Amino acid sequence: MAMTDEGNGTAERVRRRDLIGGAAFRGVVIGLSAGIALRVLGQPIWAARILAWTCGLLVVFPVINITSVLIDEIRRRDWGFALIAVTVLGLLAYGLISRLL
Amino acid sequence: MHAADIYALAAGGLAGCLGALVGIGGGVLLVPILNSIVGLPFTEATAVSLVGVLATSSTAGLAHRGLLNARLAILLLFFSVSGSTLGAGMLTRFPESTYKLVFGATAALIAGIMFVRLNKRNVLPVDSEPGVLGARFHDHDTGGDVVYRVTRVPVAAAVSFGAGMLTSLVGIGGGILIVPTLNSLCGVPLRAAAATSVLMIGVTAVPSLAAHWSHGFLGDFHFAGMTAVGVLMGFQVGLRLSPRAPVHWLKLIMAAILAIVAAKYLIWR
Repeated sequence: MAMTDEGNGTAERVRRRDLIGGAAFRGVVIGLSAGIALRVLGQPIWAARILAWTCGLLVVFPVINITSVLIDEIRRRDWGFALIAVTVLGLLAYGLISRLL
Repeated sequence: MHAADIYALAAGGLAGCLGALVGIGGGVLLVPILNSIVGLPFTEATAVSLVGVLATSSTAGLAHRGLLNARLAILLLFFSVSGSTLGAGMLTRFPESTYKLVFGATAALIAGIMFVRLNKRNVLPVDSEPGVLGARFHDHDTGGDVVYRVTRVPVAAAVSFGAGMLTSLVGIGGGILIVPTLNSLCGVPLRAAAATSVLMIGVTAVPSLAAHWSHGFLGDFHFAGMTAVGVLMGFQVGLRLSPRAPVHWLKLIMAAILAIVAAKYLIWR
C-alpha cells in the first residue's frame, strides 16, 4: 500500500520536510523582500543578484520533497520506488547542471 | 514602482489566490497577463510564470498535509520530469508564434476541462486493499477513513509526460491537466489528486526553469521577484477566503476567461 503523509509512519518525513521547508520558505520571503526593496532604493545590480539567488532557493523545495520520499523508500527497503526517486533526482540534477553550470 | 510592477504583483496575487482556492498553479493565467498586460515577451512571460508555479507549489506544499500520495507522485514524476527535460531542449527550436499557438490550444483544452470537470469521490469500503499505488487517509471533513485504488496508470503517465512538455514549452504547471485525470480517470479522490499534483508541478518546473534561466529569459529577475511575492501574498489571501468562496462559480469564470485567452492566441494573433 502506498503511503500518505498521515499514514504508515511518515510523520517523521513530514516533520523533516516542514523543518527544512519552513527555513527555506523564510529564506525565500526574506530574499524576495530584500531584492524588491533594493530595486526600489535604486540598487538594480544587487537586487538582481539577490532575486536570482532567491529563485535558486525556490528550486530547493522540490529537491527536499523528492529526497524525503527517497529516504522513506530506502528505509522501507522498497528498492523499486527508491530507484524511481533516484532517477527523478538524476533527471533534476541533469537539468540543473547541464543548463546552469 | 512602475505600473508594470503593480500588474506583475497583481498577476502573481491572482495566481496564488487561485492556487489556494481552485488548486492550480496559475501559470495558465500568469502567462497571458504577463505577456499581454505587463508587456513581457512571450518567452520571458513563460519563464516568470515558472517562478510563480514554483512559488505556488512551495507554498501549497507546506499548506497541504495528509493527502499526498508520495509513491504515485514519484512514479508520475518520472514521466513529467522526462517530458519537461525533453521540452526544455525544444525551447528555441521554433518561432515564438508556434509556442503561442501551443499555449492557445492548451488554454482551450483547459477551459473545456474546467467546464465539464467531474468530482468523483472514488472511495472504496474502509476494509478494502488499496494495492501498490493506492492509499488510505483520514478525511477530517467526514471524520472517516478513506481508501482508494489507482487505476489506468498508463493514462496518468501519458498525461504527466504531456504536462511536463507543456511546462517547458509554455510555462504552465500542468496541475490543471493532472488533477482531473487522476480524479476522473484513475480513481484518486479529488483532494488527494490535488495534493499529489501540487508536489508534482514544483518538481516538474525545475528543468524547465533551468532551461529558461540559461537562455536569459528571466531577464534581471525583477518581474520574477514581483510575481513570486504576489503569489505568496495571494496564496495566503486564498487560504483565508477558501471556506466561504464560491469555488464552483470561480471555476466557471476562470473557464470563460481561458476561452477568451485561447481565442486571443489562436484567432486574434
